Amino acid sequence: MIIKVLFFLYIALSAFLVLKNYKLNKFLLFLVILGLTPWFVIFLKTPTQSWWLGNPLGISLTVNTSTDYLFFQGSENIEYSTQDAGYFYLWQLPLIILGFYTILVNANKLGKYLFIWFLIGLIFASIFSLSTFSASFLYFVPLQMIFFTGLNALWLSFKKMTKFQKILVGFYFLLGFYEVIVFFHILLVHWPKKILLG
Amino acid sequence: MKKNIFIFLLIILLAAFLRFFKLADFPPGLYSDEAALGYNAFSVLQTGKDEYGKSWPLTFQSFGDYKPPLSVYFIMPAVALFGLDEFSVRLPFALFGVLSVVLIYFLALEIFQKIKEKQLIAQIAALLLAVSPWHLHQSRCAMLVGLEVFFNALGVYLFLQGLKRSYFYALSALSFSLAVYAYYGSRITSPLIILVLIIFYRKIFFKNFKNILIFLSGFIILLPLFWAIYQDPQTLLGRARFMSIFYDKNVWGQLWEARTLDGPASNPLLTRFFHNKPFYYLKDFIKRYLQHFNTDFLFVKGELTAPFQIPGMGVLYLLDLPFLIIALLTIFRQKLKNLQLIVYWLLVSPVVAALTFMTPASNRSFNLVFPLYLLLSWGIFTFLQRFPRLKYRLLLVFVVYLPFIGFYLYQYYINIPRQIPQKWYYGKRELVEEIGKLQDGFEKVVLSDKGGPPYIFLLFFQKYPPENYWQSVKVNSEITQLGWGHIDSFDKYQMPRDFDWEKIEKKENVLYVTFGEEVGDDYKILKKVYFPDGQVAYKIFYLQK
Repeated sequence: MIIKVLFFLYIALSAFLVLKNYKLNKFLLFLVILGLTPWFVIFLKTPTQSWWLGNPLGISLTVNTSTDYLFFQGSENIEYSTQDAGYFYLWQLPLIILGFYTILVNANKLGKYLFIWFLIGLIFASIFSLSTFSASFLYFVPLQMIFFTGLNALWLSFKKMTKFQKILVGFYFLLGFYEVIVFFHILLVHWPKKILLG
Repeated sequence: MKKNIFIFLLIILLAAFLRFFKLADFPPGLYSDEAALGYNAFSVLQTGKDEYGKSWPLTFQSFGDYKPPLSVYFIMPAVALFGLDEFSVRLPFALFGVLSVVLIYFLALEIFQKIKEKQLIAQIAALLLAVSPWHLHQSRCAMLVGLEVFFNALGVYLFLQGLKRSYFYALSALSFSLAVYAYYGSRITSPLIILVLIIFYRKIFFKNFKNILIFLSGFIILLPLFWAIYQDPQTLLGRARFMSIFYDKNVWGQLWEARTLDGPASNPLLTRFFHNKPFYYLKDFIKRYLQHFNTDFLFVKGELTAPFQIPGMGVLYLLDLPFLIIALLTIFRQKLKNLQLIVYWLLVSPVVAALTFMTPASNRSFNLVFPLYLLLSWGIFTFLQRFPRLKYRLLLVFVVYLPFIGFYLYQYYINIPRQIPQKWYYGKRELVEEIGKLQDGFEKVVLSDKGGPPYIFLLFFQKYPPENYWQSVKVNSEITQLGWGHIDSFDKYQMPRDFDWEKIEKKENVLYVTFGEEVGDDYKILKKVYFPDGQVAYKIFYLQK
């Protein structure tokens, strides 16, 4: 009962703030109509046992944005993931961040297009929670392009870097190269055995 | 001006109400670490010695564990004033929780000083921290990190003040030192935050050699700690080493599995090239580090291990997510140094948590709260700027957040007692009171250790005289793999390690205390203690003649 009263007060207060230019009679009319609206009537008539905030879309969205899923483990289904590596290399992460930074700070048309594509893809992928990996393509593609934008930004700034910075970048790519080799080893040697073992 | 002060006071009032309301009763019960801190404070207050008889220690031993000292010394005045109970133990943490809300207000004013509407940003930051589920949870229990995070944030604030008046550097160092005394993790986190500050403001800081000397002088209070470490190396890390990824066997297991999958025919050098400790540990550390920024942890599931779990929600509100994204998207466009400082502060905060094997951990990464809420306030402010004609903006923010706050309070006050009371050792007070009433006439009381270490609750709730305890206690010196020690007995209480009803010696004239349903109802049950959902928490019984 308390939750219902609090919820009603919350709606009333929100309406008061949003509809503050309206006269009192219109505000009251809003409350009357609210009281007659089916969802509100059903809300009043049914017990409040579970809350509506935790929704499947939200949970699936967090799987798709999880760093464990993207960079370390991939899907739980062994047929779609080696389990020992994610869907992107760890060394790509800084460049993905740089890519996001570049497209958003520069804010050109292409950047905005990519960002919106990524967001729409992510949201749609999250709706298909049963086949996560296949659905993830929807945002993997723009993410790959965003990564490439980051790589391009690094390339463009490479000439201006100090020697020390250049050595650091070289070391970073060396680590990246090592990660690629390890991944292919896992893919070709470990994964088939793991699938056989189930 | 008056309006701003009024709003500020309202926020503080709200923060205080949410932190002090039924503080002794929620979280339901008293966690074993809280009981240990409280009893040690009581013991030092009464005798000048801790539960192990050490005088005014700089590290407090309990359960084979070593706890940093600041919490105990802060609990002492509360115990002196109100006696030894749940409220006294939690009081300093609730108080510092409220002070943290005050601090973030002034910190936001300092960080956003060049923004015209800095007052609004500071008010949003204070309001959001006041109602933050993460901060509320940690402010309402005695779990060390509440103090640590306050002193680290105060250190940052004083350092920023030091840029204008150099004597503040000493106070900043003093504050960071107190953070080191508050929590083991700060032995890594505080130096990292200091490093970020010094790199960020190197031109001003190194301009005058005097600044360095003033700053270093503030660390003088760490000298007793160095002396204590010299005398007893356990003081340096305590139980932290048992929690480290290097102690845990997870990476070793991964390596073993990978090398096995390579097969015996594989060249050993090649196997070592692909599967080696440095690469696996690096990956493990980065994986655990990034888990603290995952949406699952922050917004949906939160911490999954007791006792920091809030069922059904993340450590932040789901609504925080879009505003955090806005903040991150816009913060680098502002060419303000202070704003970028927040991001670097954010980045160093979960390093300690990532070095431990239980991740994501909301307590060890608690340093994230200050930079996160500063970012969040910036995100909300940026969003509100899109609607310049909007009035009552702070009230609007509060109203929009109300359903989320309501949900959190519902989970905290209704669902935690229903779903996870055992994680907070609910029922121990009632149990100890009942044992006190029933134990006369029995030769011994034998207690199961399944529902948490019983000795500390007996000491705490009976306000057992420390001198009597030292005389009769039998400490089991064997430490488990996770670093836990054990107390076998004191007075007439016996607590067999790894209690197993089938294996222990059963005698008449002994009062037995077991957890839940580990023993059936075939004996003479004197009393059952129940969880709020009606499940049996403890049974007190004896063998019938």
